[in-house]
Amino acid sequence: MSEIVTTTEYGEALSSVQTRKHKTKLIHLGLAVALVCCFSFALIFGSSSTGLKELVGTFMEYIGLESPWTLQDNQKFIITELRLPRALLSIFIGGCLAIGGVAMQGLFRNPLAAPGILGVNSGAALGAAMMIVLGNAILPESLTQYAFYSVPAGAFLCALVITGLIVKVGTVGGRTNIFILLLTGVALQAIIGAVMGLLTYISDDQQLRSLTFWTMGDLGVAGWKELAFIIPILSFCCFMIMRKAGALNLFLLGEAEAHHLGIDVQKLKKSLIIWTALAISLAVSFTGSIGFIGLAAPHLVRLMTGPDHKTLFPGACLMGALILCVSDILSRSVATAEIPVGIITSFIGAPVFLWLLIMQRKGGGSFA
Amino acid sequence: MLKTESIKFARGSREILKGIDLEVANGEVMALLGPNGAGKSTLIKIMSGELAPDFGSIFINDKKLADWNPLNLAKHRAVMPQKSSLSFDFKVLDVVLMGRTPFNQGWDSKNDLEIAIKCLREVECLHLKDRSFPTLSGGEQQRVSFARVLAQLQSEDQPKNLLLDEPVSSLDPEHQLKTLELARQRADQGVAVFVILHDLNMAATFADKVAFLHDGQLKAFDTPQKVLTPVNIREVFNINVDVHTHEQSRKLLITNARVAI
Repeated sequence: MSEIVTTTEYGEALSSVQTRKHKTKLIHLGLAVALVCCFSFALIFGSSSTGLKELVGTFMEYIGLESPWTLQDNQKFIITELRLPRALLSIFIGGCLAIGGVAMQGLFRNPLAAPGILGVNSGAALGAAMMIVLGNAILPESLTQYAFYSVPAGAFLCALVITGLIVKVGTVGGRTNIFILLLTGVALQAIIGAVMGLLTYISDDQQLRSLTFWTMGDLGVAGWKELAFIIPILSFCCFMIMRKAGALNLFLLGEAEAHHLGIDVQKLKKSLIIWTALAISLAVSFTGSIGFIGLAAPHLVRLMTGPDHKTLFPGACLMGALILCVSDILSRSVATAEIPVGIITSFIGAPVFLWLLIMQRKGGGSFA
Repeated sequence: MLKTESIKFARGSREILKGIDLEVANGEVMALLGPNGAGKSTLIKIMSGELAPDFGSIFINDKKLADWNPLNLAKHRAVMPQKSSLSFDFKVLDVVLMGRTPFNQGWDSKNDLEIAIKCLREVECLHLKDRSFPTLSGGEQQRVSFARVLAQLQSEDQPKNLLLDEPVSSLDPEHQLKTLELARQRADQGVAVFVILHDLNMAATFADKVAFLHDGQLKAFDTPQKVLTPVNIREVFNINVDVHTHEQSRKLLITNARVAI
């Protein structure tokens, strides 16, 4: 057997690798362009008449140029204080949910896994609900000035505990059993549902409104104060997750194989779970449970560019941002009153989920 | 160099390994054989660090397994498990390139691509390079996994070790021979090769040392001539065989007698 690789063999393999890379870049570029378009549209679209002219003018004034059009203060206010933070929130939350979805699907080597299914969402909801209903009763007097942070803090801690519990029960002899894991998730969600019901029962009107917001998912809370708090944290978490792209690829071969290829498997699992739980619980603690982006966005991108996490993370991030941005525009336009965005994403996401199950059945168990 | 010292392992009250001492030198192929459930896979999992033994130590290149940093270990020893569980749609070439990750952290250079192509051609799977791995047949998957392991062995870090858990279980006769020939070739280049096999004749053909694992203990551990005797084989596998010496190659040839049921 000859040891030398012929130039034709090498050239052919190189060109096939480069063609795939090129295609991936084009798809990323397409997603980015679509996102910029939707983002701009989200800024000019709404019940009050502020069009492209006002948007460009406001932007030009912001960077220190003279606007060629006269702008009314209330139009500028609508763009910079209402629509811009809301659009920013939608793309950051959407991207973050998608990255969390990729991380969980990689971690459990199963494209049907998503943070929501694994209880991060319901855990976060439980934590937030306990803070909303019982927060005033259980928090010491000295901490009431930090009430703004108590709901996300409660959501985060509770999501971490619930996810940790599910992973713990689902891991037998060092190996994660996906069926036990999913069933544990179902069981815990039933318990959480009962506790949430109890909390709903004892809550007052104001608390009930806040609780209802949880089951829907809503981007209406967006303000610069919230953004300044969550964007740096979300970005850092996503960075910490995306750093593990190469290791996650090996993880798909199997835990043992990843270990044989030099990955500290326990450390990888721990860090992915911690950063994902932090990112997702923080995201949902401000917006409520927004379903199915974590499942659908990674899967759609995986179909287009393949399962390599080095390209899947950025692609899914763009896709998630795009889906939530579009969903937000839809939620503001399909009815005269605004519909919570979680309803729209589930409308898109649930059929994708069904389609995934059907395709998997047809494909004889091999995941696309 | 691979070495185990009095490895013991139990699951609950069932003792799977009852004190295993063995050593594979560089340049040597050691074949481990034994009946189903003898503890062969458990032993290779312990030797690769996937399972921790209850008692005893594993040494790789004279350093305790527990003292190795995972990345550095991956540069000095490669492991091929029995079956691949990859269900995601990676291309064959990508799977082989994963064997290069310990050296490039996932960012493949032209050299890595060249190594991957070379290893794929060695296992005669170069024509499959753009196919999706989960759609391959079991035998093809096994050969591609072997190519991945060969790609991991290609570096300046010495000495190397290779652990193979039934690498030919799904292969046709031609590729069984070619795969073990490649393992033999790596041993001749200085790699310590530890391989679990079922075929007595394959062990006789390719191994420098043969070990029989029976009921959690090593029944025999020596050269093929000393281990592969009708008496040993009858004791461990409960079959009657005749052992001949092939005239030209001087290798052993084992023929079966009918089993009475």
